[in-house]
Amino acid sequence: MTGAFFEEVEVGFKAESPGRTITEADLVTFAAISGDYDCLSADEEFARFTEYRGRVAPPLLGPCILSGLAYRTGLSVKVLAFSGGEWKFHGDIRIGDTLRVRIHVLQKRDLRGREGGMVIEQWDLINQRDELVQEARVSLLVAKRTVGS
Amino acid sequence: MTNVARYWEEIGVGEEYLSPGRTVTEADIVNFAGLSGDWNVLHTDAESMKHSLYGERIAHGLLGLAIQAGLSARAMPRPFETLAFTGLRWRFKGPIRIGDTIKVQVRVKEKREGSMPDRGLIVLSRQVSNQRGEVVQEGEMDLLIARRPTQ
Repeated sequence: MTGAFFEEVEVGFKAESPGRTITEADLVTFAAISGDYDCLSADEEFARFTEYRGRVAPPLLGPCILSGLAYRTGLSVKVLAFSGGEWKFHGDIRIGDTLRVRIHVLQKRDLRGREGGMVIEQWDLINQRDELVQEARVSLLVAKRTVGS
Repeated sequence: MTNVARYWEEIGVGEEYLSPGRTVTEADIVNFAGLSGDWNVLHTDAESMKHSLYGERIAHGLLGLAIQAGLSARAMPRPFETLAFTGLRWRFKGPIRIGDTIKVQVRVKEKREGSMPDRGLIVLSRQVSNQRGEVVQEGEMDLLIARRPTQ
């Protein structure tokens, strides 16, 4: 496993990923994997007569893209488990949008005697117009260098 | 139309649905790694994972979240007239392993009028469990649902 151990994670650290352009193929692939063919994302003829005026990405594609971008921020940690999080979906993601993620390490909590410690991070998903599209506060269980410390 | 979506007024607190099962396969994990770009060894390196606390590769937590979305759609006899999905609170409680069969139970937890007259809020609670009945993921989603047009 590459990346930083719990002991090395610095509270206050900030990092930004490169961009990723969301394509029609991403929407189709997400529908294929999830089995969720919601008309807003999968039916252009339906979607263009809604207030969105065209297909938008399923909101859950955001966390999925974000998780991959998070590894490309330069902030790499040895994740043992993804414990959970709270997401807010502020705006839509459209085909052709280019997304980046900004990560901010908010908090660290040692779990005595466990193989990992909890790291709380803020993940902001930003588009090409610098609009905050989604934000999340996530809890990650990160491996310790020395078990039982 | 047979599968007409339901307005906010037609949705009742306490409604409950149980989805069919879906067996999570190695292919699902490989596809999800490709789509997300999350190639963490937890999900993609069988050899390293033999020596981990899981003993094998496990599914991405977010793959479970994606699959439950599709299962939920199959659980509900009629979809909601959803205008927006605004929030999610989610816990990944246990691993999903290759070969596990998961189901989702959906419950309408709360219903509130919003600040806009044409839509209302619905809070759904969802619980994802495996073939042994263990809850592997659970949480809540906030949806804005269209109200029945007046006139």
